Amino acid sequence: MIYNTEGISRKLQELKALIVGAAEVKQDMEVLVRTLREEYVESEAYQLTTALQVNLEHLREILAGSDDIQFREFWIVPFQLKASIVFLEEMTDQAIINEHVIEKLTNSRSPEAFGSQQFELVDVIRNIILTAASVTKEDKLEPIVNRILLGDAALFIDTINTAIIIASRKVDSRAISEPETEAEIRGPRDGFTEELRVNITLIRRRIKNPNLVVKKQTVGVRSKTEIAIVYFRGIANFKLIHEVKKRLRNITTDIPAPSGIHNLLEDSPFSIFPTVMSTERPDKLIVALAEGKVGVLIDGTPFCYTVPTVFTDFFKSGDDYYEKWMPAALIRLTRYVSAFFALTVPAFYVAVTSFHPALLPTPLVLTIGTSREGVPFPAFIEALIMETLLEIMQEAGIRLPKLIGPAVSIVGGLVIGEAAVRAGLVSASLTIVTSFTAIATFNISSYRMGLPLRLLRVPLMVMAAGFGMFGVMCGLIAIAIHLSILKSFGEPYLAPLAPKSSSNLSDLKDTLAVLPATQMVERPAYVEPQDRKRQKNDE
Amino acid sequence: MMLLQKKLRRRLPLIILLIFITLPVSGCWDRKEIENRGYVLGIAIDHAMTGNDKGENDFMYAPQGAGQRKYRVTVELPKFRKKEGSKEISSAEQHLIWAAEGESMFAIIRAINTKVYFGMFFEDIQILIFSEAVAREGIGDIIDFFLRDAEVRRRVKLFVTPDRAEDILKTKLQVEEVNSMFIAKLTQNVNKSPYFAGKAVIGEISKAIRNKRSFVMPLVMVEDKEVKITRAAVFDRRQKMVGELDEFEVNGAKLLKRELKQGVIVVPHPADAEKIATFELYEADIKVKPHLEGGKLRFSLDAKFVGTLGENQNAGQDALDPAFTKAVEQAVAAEYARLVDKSYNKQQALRVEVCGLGKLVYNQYPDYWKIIKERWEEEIFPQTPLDTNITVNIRRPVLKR
Repeated sequence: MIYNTEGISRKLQELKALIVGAAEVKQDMEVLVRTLREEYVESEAYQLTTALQVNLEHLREILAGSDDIQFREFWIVPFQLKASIVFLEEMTDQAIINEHVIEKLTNSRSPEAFGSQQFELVDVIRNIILTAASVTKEDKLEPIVNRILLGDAALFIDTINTAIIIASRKVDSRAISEPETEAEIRGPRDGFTEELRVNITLIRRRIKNPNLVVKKQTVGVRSKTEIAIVYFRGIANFKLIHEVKKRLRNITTDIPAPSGIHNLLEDSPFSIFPTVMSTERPDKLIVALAEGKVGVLIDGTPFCYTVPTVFTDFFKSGDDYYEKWMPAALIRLTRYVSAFFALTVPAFYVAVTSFHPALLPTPLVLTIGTSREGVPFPAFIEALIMETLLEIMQEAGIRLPKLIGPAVSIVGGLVIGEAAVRAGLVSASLTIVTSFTAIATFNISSYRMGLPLRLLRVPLMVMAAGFGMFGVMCGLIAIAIHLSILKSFGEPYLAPLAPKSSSNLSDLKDTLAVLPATQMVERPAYVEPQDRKRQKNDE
Repeated sequence: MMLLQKKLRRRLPLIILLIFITLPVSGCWDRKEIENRGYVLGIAIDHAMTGNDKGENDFMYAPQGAGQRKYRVTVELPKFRKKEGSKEISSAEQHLIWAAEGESMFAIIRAINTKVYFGMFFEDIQILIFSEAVAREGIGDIIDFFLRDAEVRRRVKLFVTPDRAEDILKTKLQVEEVNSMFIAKLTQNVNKSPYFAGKAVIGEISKAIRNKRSFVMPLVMVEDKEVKITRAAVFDRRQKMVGELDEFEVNGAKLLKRELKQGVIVVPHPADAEKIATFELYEADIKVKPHLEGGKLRFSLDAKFVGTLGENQNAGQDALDPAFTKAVEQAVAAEYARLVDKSYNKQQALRVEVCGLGKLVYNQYPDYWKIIKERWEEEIFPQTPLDTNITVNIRRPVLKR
C-alpha cells in the first residue's frame, strides 16, 4: 500500500502550530485580564521624591483616584515654590487648613527673613510659619497616607522630599448616650460610642492617674482598625498585657469586624461559651481595670473588651456595687438561679412528665395531667415546638423596626400562648414552663451568656426525652466539665468559684454573693495582679 | 499534647456518632407521657360477690392458675378532663372506677389492665380500704403485694369500713375532688378531734406485722354524699380484726399512748346538771410507767392537762368563780379517767394492746419482757391493773362581756 506520508506530516505540523498558537492566545488573554483587573496597591512600595508633581501622582495612584481626596495646589509666593495640600474632604476641619496653613503660607514673609540659610526650609515652615496645634514632619509615603485617611492634612512642597502633616481631624461622633444593651438603675448614664477617641476621653475623665496607660495599635492588614489597650501600670500583670498585645498583633484577618474582634482573641474559639467579656459601660471597664484586668477599646464599636474573663463576670451588674450588699447579693443569686432554670427547666419538665411523675406531689401530677389531656404530641415534641416558637419570636423582636417590635410580642404572646392552649395544641403547663424559661433567660444580666444557655437547652431536652433525669444529669455534667476545661487568656474559666489555694478564698467575696465594699480588700487572685491589696492605709 | 489533641479531633466525629447511635438503640423504655398513666389513688378490697360456682369467664374474672375468686379489688383513678368555663363538676365526674375479682392482688390489677389502656401506676396511691368482712378474716396475706411492690409508697393510709369498701370509692361526694384524695386529707384533723385512730400508714402497719404487734386502723363510713372517719378497728397479732374501739375508747387509748394533744371534753355543768360545760385541751403532760413489784406488773398513769373553758352553757354562772372552775376541773379529770379506764378495759377484754404499753415494759424491764413477750397480750396484759391520776387546770376561763 502507498501512503501519502508527506501529506500527513504536513497536516500534523499545521495542527501543532495551531495548538501552540492557541496556548499563546491563552497567555495573552491572561495578561490582558490581569491588567484590566485592579490591583491592591501597597503604599510601602512608593518613595517620596523632591518633585511635587511626581509625589502627587503617586498619591493619586495609592488612593485610587478617590473623589473625596482633595488636592489643593497653591503658590507660596514668598518662597517662589509650588505646594499642594492633600486631605480628605469630609473628615477634615477645613477652617484649620484655611487659617493656619494656606493663609499663613501665602502671607508669609520671604524666607531670608527667617534665616533660611541656617535652617532647612521644612523646619522654617513647620516651626515658624504654620500655627496649627500639631504639625509633624514625615518623609515616608505610607504613614502620610495613613494620616490622610485619619483626617489629617498633608502639605507637600516642591523641591522638598518631606511632607508636613497638620492635625486637622474633625471628629463627628454619635452623642454619648445611655448604653442600650446594659441597662442599670443607679449606674452612670453615659456609654461608649463608636469613636475611639471619645471612648478614651470617657475613661481619662474618670481616672486622673498617670498610671492609667493607653497603648494604641492597629488591627487588620487592610482595615487598619485603631485599637487601644488600656490598663493600670503597677496593677495589671505584665504577662497579661504582653499576651493581649501579642494576640492583637497576631490577628491575620484583613478586615475584622470591630464588634467581633473578641472572637479572634478567644482561647477556645470552638467553645459555645464566651470567654471575652464585652461591655459598653465605662464604669464597668474601670471596675475591671481596677481588678487588674486589661481593657481593649476598638474604633468603630461601642463595645470594649475586658480580659481575662471568667464565668461569673457575666452575672455581675454595676448595680451590685451601687446598692447595699445584702439585696445586691440576693439579686445576683437570682441571676445564677435563673441561669440554671433557663438551661434546665424544659428538660426537667420533659424528664419528669414522661419518666418520673412520681417525683411530683399527687395534686400537681393531676393538674399537669389534666392540662396535657388531649394534647396530640408527647411532652418532648411539644416542648420542642414551643422552644422553636420562642426563639423565632425572640429573634423577630430584635430584627424588626422598633415601631413593629411590640406587635410581635402581642401577636406572639396572645396568639401562641392563649389560642394554642385553647385549641388544645399545647398544654397550659408547658406554656408556663416556656414563658418562665424565657423570662429567666432575660434575667441573666448578660445577653452573651444567655445565648449559650438558650442553645444548650435543646440538647438537654433531647437527653431528657431519651434518658429522663439520668440524661439531663449527664448533660449537665458534660457542661460542667466543659466549663472547667475552658480558659480565658490562660486563666481558668471557673477560677473564682474554685480558688487554687486558701489564700485565694477572698475571690469568693464577689462571685456568687456580694460582700460589703469595705470587705473587698484584695483584688481577684485569678487575674494575678502585681499588687493584690486593693484598700490601703495611708503610707 | 498537640498529638493527643489531633488524635482526639480525628476521633471526635466517631465518638459523636457512637453517642447518637445509642439513642435509637436504647429506646425510651421508661418513657410514658404523664396523662397516659393510670394514677391509682385509692384501692378498696372486698369479698367477691359472685360465688365460685359462677361462670369462669364473666366480666369481673381475673385469670389465675391457682386460687379462688375470693376478693374484689376496686381502684379509683382520676379523670383528666378539661374544665370548661366554670361548669360545676361533681366528684363522680372527677374519678373513674374499675374492678376485678380473684385471689391474687397482682393478677387482679393486671386483669384491670385489660379494661383500661393506661397502666396502673401506684406511686400516688393515697388510701387502701378493707371491708370489715375481709379485715376480720385477716389482712396479713393480702397486704403483701402492696408492701412488696416497688411503686407503693410507705405513707398510704389504711382504713376499714363496716360495709362494702367499693361503695366508699364509688359514692358521689359534695366536693370537687377525687374521693381517695378527700379521705386522705380528712385524716389531717386527727389532733383536732381525737375520736378516730390516726397514723395507720402502710409503712407503720408493715412494721407492726413484722414485729408481731397488734395495731389499729380508723374506720371510714359513707352516707348520703358524706364520708366520715371515726373509731378504730383493732387488729391482733395475726392481723385479724378482733373488735372496735368506740370514739371515747379511741380518745382514751390516745391518752394512754401519750399522743393526746387537743380535743374537747363535755361535762355536766356543776351548777345545773341539766346543762353542760366544755373543756378545751391545749397542753398535755402524760406519763405512763410500768411497775414490777414482787413479780406483779402494774401501770400508773399521771397526767396534767391544761386548757381553757371552751363553753359555759349557763348564763347565770360567773366563769371567774374559783369554786366553779375547781368543780369543772374535777369533772373533766373524772371524765378523762373514765375514758382511760374504758379504753383500757376494752383492750383487756379484746386481749389486744395497741397503746405501746408493751414497749414501755420492754424499756423498763427488758429481762422480764423476754420472759413474758409471747404471752403479753393474751395472758399478762389482761391481768395488769392501771392506776390513773389525772389533774386538770383551767388556765383561762376566757373573759366574755
